[in-house]
Amino acid sequence: MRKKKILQALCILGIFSATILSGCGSSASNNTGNNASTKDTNSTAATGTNDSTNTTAPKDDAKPVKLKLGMWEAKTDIEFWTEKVKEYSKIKPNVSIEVETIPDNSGQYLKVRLAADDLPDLMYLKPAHFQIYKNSLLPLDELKAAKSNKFPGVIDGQTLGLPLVSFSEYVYYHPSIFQELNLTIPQTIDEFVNVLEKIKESKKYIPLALGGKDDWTFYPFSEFGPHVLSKDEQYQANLANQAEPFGPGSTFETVANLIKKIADDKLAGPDALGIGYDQATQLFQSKQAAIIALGQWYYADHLAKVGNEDDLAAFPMPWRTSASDPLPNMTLADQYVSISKNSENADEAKAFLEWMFSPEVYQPYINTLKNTSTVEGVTSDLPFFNKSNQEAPFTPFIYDATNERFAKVKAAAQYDEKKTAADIFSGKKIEDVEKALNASWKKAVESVK
Amino acid sequence: MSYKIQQRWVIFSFLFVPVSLLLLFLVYPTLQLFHYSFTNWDGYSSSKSYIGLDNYKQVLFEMPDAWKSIGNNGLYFVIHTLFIPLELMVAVLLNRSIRGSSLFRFTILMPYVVNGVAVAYMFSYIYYPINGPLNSLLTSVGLESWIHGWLSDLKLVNFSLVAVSLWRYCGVHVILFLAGLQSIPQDLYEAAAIDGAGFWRKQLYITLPGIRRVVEIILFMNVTGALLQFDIPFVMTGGGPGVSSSTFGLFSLFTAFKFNNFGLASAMAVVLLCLIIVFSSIQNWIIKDRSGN
Amino acid sequence: MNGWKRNLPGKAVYYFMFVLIVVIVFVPIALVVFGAFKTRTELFETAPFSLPGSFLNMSNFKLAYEQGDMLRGLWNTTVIVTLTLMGNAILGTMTAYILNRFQFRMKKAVYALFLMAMIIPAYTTEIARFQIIHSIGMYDSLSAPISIYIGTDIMQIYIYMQFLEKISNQLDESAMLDGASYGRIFRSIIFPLLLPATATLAILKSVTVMNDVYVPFLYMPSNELVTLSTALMKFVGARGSDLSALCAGIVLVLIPSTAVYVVFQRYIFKGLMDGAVKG
Repeated sequence: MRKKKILQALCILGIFSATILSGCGSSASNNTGNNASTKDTNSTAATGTNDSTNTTAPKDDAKPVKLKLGMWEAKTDIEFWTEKVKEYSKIKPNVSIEVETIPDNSGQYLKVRLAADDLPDLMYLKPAHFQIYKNSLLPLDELKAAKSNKFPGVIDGQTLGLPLVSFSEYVYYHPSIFQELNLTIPQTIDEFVNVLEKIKESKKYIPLALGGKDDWTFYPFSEFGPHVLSKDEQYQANLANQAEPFGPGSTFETVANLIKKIADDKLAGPDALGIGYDQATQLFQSKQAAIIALGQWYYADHLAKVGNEDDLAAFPMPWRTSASDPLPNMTLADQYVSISKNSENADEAKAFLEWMFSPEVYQPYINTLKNTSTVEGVTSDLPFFNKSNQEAPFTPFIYDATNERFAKVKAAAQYDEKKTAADIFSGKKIEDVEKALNASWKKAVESVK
Repeated sequence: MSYKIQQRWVIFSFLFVPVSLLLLFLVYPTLQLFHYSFTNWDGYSSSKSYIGLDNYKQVLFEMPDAWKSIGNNGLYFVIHTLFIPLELMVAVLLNRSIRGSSLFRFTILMPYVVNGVAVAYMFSYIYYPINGPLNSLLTSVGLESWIHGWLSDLKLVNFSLVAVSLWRYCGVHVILFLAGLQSIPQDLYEAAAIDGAGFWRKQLYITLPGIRRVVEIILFMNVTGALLQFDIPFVMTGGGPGVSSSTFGLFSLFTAFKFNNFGLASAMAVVLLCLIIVFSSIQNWIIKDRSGN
Repeated sequence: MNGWKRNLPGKAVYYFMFVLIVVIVFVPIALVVFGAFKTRTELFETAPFSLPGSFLNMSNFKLAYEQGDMLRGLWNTTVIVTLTLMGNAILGTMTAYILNRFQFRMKKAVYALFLMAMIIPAYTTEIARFQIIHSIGMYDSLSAPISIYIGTDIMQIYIYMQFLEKISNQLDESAMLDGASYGRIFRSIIFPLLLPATATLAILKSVTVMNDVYVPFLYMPSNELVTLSTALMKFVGARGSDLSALCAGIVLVLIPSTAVYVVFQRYIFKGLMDGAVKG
């Protein structure tokens, strides 16, 4: 009798836990049946043409395919693709695309999935991340989209990702304020600081909107500055071979001094480290701040929030010491789309990638995002930037962001340009920062073979 | 079936699920943690090599930022500990039926009930430098000079974050103290009153011994909470400016996933474990019941 | 406590503290509620302590609701919390019962295990745990967070044991004399008597579960598996929204847990009392 009751209790428990474990519907394990075709990479996908959608007519409508497209948390981007992929499902009824967002907690989210062999079928990557993911990505060399892309992400001789956008860095400003204070576009770093000082003297505006609480907002300065100033496209590769590259006379120090100057003279308002990106852009948009330094991508944001570009203009950050030098401006490709090697539907993923980059899809995309096209034959219509490039011309500075050794040394030294910038901004001595940085860098250079 | 056999059965069957859950989600990952801490694994590659105690050496001797972070944990610990007597006092006062006491109780547990992420965002707004509530409160009472960059001043940022932690967790401690107080049989107090004991004597000889286990729990929670603290700085400052408000947990998280030094981060976690064990043991030793014999 | 009633200064201290705590707790929340009803410019230009121009300005809520997918988040959170609480209560009481009433060889080891659970920083063991979850096929389903949360923890066991010590062993023994099995004793004596404690613990647990961002973020990437916390996180995003909409998002996330709390608080605190009286 008693035994029976115990068993009964166990059963109840068993049923209970079984419901929990199975009852909640897993969406991950839908298409285990399609394994067979995974390895066979050079068959159907290669046939993808501009309208690949017609040529790769579904062989078996019966097999529903679900592709996951992992992208970053950029609103315009997500909104565009979430809507657009519905069209794809009309062309290919058996394929459904799920847009998922990759939260960027220091890349952790995607790395855990990488470690578990569970990357989304297609995903966005940054050029600097290729070294991490390269062994799990499908070579895309034979795709038509790869051939027509201007900046394919090539690692160890293989194309592993295709960038959706390319853009330059800009300093946005309100022409009305410049007019009011009789300012002209600065040509050198010193002039840039001068402009900021003059705006500050007017006591009407915050010179530079900076959302230092989100330390990534320092990137136009601390990440790109030393690099552009060095005028060396192999800056990172060289850095990875020097034991103590952050000392006096380095471009790092020039930028560090600039950051310190902005902090000490309160050129970015009373509490730039206390506000984040949102508030910084809000200050700029409401004309409380005169200048903001961000990428081309900010333009779409600004339009969305302000509704017009009446009082907006841009110039490249003057990373040079003499106005007679050529002016290089950081120009880079980003949002590389890659395909996971372990995708159960690699062929479908490739076909979808071709579709993403086909002119009839890509053109509206690049128009929406207001970035520069990466695809041969597709030009983006950017009157705003054309105009500012005419007024303040520059030479694009394109660099290799995929150096393996640099990635390793930087990680081993636990170096983060933006955090270092925040450190300097918050009042740490440049000397001390450099000392600590050089010490850890030296050790890292030695330890990475 | 005899009770003897039945006993075995019941022990086994009742503990089976909880223990296997622990083994699966806790013990195995922890063993892996120790394993990783002796390697240079980056967290994703299929290969890793053993590097002995190098990671531990690095954590202990070559990472000033890690120790700065643990110092911040220390701040959470110290300030929370200072608040424990206060929490106990509040609980003693609450342990009555007096008009409004139920509303009081409701209020005091409220901060713990609201969503933690929401709390972090909420206080980001409170500390907001432009037209933020805290600053405008100070302005309205004429204390403009007190206005600071609450989350950007290196000397202040950690205190601002600890304040959020206090707001959020003090109530739980009070309620736990209350639970302990309520479990003390009332007749003990009545008997003591007959013997002529005053309020403070009753607290000392009845209340304190009666809630020893709760005190134990709260102190333990306090140590672990302080040493594991990471979501408040994570959401509110990201450990910034620089690494000045980083905690050990946050720092090891960045080490593991941002810089791909998973082996090193595992060593940090092991160090953290040791710290928790040491601190909890010290505390337990301090509050040990020495009157027992 | 007759002395108490006559103790006027004591009462004054009590009510002073009362008011202070009410202010400390509710003012920050109220400010966010005000913020949620203000427009973007209003929030920037009016004093934070001023009432919003209109409590009918729902635009922020609309934005938060549409973009945050709060309703689905609420549903998923409800499912997770309910199943977790049921399982957790059963597992917790069973464990405490065994540890309190029986002597056996591995007892210390089991204890140590639960203690260990408390001190291991989950996020450092995440990769190994993720691999397990993934290999059992629970990844990207509600069962992943549930099976992580459902496990009982040392604090729970401590509190249950505190209560169990007050439940006299004689009750068990007399039931055994009547021929009841251990299972029956557990079901009809121990479990019901632990219900007050369970109510309190359930609230604490449900709060932990509701508030966790980390596990749902990592284990349930699908959009349809969003929870309240992750909905808020997603809503804010990296280049996300403005402050007024964020306030609305916060308020939307606060409503369900506060509602649960308001409805059940009577039981929690009553549970605390009863447990003590019966002890």
